[in-house]
Amino acid sequence: MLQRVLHGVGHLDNRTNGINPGLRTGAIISSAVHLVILLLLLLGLPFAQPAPEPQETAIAMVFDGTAESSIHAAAPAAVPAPAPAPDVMPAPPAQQPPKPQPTEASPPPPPTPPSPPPLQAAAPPLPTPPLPVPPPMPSPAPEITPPPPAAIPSPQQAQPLPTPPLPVPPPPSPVPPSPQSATSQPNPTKNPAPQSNALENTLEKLRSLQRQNQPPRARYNPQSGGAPNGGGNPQSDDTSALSTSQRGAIGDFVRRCWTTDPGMLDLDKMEVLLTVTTDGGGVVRRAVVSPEDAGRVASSMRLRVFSERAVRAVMDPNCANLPLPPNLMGQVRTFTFRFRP
Amino acid sequence: MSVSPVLPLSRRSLLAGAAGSLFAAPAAFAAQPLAPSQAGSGGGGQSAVIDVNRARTDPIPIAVPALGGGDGNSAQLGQDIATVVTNDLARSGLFRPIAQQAYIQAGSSQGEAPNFQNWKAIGAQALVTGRAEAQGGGQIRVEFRLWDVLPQTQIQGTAYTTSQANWRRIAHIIADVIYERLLGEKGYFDTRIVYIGATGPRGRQTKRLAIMDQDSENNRFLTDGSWLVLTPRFHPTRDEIAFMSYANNRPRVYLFNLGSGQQRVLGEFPGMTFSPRFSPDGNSVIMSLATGQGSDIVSVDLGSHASRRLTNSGAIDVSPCYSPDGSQIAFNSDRGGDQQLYVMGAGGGSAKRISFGSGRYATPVWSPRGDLIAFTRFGGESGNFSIGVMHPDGSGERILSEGFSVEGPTFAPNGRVLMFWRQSSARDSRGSGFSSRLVSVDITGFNERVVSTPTDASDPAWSPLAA
Repeated sequence: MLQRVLHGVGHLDNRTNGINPGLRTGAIISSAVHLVILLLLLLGLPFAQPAPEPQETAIAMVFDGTAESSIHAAAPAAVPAPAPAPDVMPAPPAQQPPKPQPTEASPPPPPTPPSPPPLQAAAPPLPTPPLPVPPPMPSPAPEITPPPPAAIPSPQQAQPLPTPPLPVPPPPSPVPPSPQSATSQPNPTKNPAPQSNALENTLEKLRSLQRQNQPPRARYNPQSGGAPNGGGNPQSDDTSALSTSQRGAIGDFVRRCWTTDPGMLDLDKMEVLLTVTTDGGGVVRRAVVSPEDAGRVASSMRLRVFSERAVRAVMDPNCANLPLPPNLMGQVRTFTFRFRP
Repeated sequence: MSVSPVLPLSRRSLLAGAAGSLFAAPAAFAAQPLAPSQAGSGGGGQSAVIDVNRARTDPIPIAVPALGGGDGNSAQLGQDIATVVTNDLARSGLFRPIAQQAYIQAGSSQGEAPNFQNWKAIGAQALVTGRAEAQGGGQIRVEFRLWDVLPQTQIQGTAYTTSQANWRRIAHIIADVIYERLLGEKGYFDTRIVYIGATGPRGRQTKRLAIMDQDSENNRFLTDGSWLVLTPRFHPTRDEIAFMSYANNRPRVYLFNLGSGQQRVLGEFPGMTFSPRFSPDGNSVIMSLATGQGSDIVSVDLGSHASRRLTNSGAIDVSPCYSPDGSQIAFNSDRGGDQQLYVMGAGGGSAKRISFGSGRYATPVWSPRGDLIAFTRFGGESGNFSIGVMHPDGSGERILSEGFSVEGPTFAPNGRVLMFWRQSSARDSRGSGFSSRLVSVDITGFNERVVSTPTDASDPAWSPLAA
């Protein structure tokens, strides 16, 4: 405040140098009056002087640096005073390392100690669009094709189909806890594109808004036995990514291999859900009764046979190469089929 | 301190709302393609499934290579068993055995998993492998495995040891196991057929009681033809047959013990007794008893020989047959002025008419599954005889076969196949007119086949499963 006043006076002086002389005397008088008033104030209120200075320095510390530096400023509250600082120095050194130390001193919890600073750790979801899809899974074929059955003649082998490890996506890597700051922005902006009305920027803005920026929390677990209500959730697989016509086309394609025994008792009441896994080429590699139907199938010989015929239909070489849309090719996919007579 | 009402809108909330609407628009736009996929699944609460329906009717392609064996005799036995199994499955119409000439490899016999690709390549969906070996003392050991080729899994594996003479039964039992495992219902191959064999010129035929395996093998005659015999029926659990004989010119119901060959009359009644049938538990027989102008249905306890009259309508009540649970009896009667089918309780009482089509109905037979009643119908639109089925309440009547004369249906023990006899006025390959043959047909009306018999045949009755 005082500096501004002084600057203002300086400005005034500079301006008066080249101005008409008529005003000059007035300006001098005015200046003199101001000086007198100022002196009177200083003499009359001598205690009001020291307050402003510390406030200015404290504020400057916050806005000068990045979020990282502001953390340092906020944590050790003892730093503020520039003058007495040297005496209190022993404490701050211990406080300053904490930033690198948590990552280095606690290697076990986060397995990625060398991970870049918190800001970068929060960033990855943004630039990697294919994150929600489970990692490459380069070896689905050997996992999906069930191992050759053992040579034990007991009929029990048929039922507990060896459940080969499904391509379960690995649990989402725990995001290292990023130190939070009251002043830092918790979530990076979704739209780094510059504010502009250009079409490309608008599209980019839409894309960035739709982009998933966090790893999925809920995952399909085929070994969990389905939802508590036994209804399952077909949305958890890739079937919902198909349009009605695409699903109809796939159903028509498999229908060519779908046969039943019309004389079977209660055939018209039968229905079974299959979970079908395809490889990157859209070829069915595995088909099993969906968890929500497993109980029914196990308790009824007729339904069991019905479901086995459904499995044969979808795995028939003439019908196993499903007409998937191109955007679903190239990766292991899971679909839910409902077979009815 | 005064508290002013809190308004839900603030500058911040307004801004957030504006931003939210801005964000919501593209989100809704993006979600639009998913909506039809959720709605188009056909209801039932399920969403986003791929529906496969309107299945075709097609037999299951199956490969039955010869079972392996140690020496030459065992190898021949393995081939014979495979042939019987193949014929059983093919005759059912529900399997399509693949010709052995098409096989890329022989069946594995050592219990190892087969090379599924070789079987998939020839279109097999099921594969039977196994081994047959002669053991000491005239015994044989037969083991087999049933494989589901496409999922590459073994779905059945069983071994049997029996005498050499029983090898055909072992083959039938294996076919039954395959049938049940792939179709979900018990098979009917390990069964026999009892029927009336006829020889001689028309009008002077000799009719004998005969029995054979369901595949026409092991045929033998039980009576010498001295007396006319009709309507044989199997006991549900014992090796015994009830039939009608005109022995000594007194038409009565007899029991024939298949083990000993002994016959005995079932009770002494004042009139003619005919059309017998055992109760499901085998403890009694129901039959018709001719009385004056009509006939009634009576029940005879096989232990005490006590009889009980179940109908007394003054009409002609004939051809009684128990429901599989023994709680009801179907029969035909002209009590309504025309010969129709009726159902009443096992203890008698009021009867309910169940047939309402054109023509007359006779010989009702309740399916062992309980879902159908087979019948003979004559007259009607075509004027021909026909064999049909209907639900026990009379609904869903279907005609399975028609002809100049088709009569006397009998169900296979699994309720899946009907056998009846067809009489033809045309000369057949044996040169005789009015010849009669046994015929089988699936209850769906498909797969009608003539059952081979050494003589003319009529009045078939299917045995229960032997095993």
